[in-house]
Amino acid sequence: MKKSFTLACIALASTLFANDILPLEKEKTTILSFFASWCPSCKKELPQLAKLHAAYQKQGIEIIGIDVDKKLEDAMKFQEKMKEHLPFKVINDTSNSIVAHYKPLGMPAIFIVRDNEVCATIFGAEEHLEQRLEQELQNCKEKQ
Amino acid sequence: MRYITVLAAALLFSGCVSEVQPWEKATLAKESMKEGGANNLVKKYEEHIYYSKEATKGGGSIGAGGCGCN
Repeated sequence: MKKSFTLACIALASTLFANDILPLEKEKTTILSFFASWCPSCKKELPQLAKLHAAYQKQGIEIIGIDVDKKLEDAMKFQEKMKEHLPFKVINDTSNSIVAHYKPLGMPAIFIVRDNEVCATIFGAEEHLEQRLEQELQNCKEKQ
Repeated sequence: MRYITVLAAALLFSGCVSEVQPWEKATLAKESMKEGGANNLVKKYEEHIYYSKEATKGGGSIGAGGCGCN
């Protein structure tokens, strides 16, 4: 009972937060990962991102997961099932306001954001995500 | 009057052409939305019976030569 109440509070808070377009820290690189419970490729991508989380945290890169499920119940059920692969902050974008702002061309979608500007995107399943992310992060650094 | 009717119809049906965005494909991703429905095997059997009765093959999907030999 207590656990479900806490989950509901977290979900409500994150949903309210998602209603304003995502405020991100300036001068910090953020990796936004859009996923959904109905997306099979997302289930494969999340464990890969989870593995990279600790290393990126040390480098000052933040990973934020954005669940685009419209039903909060589906989102919470999925996150509960995948909780070991979600060590980073997750926002429930039930209103789809964040995803509609970023407009990904496919799911799953990764946006690398720096100074509130998107500097790289990865759409769809990526077999070698680590290498691709490294390459995109390097490109972002060079662009500065 | 005719213009008003056309305009009203255009407004009424404009909602039917809205593009489904990648993040809105939850319903399309369901098993039941796959070609052949939720149970692909049932669809295969149905197709086999249909093609045997019609003595033809193909047209229901891509490929197939129409020899009817199975």
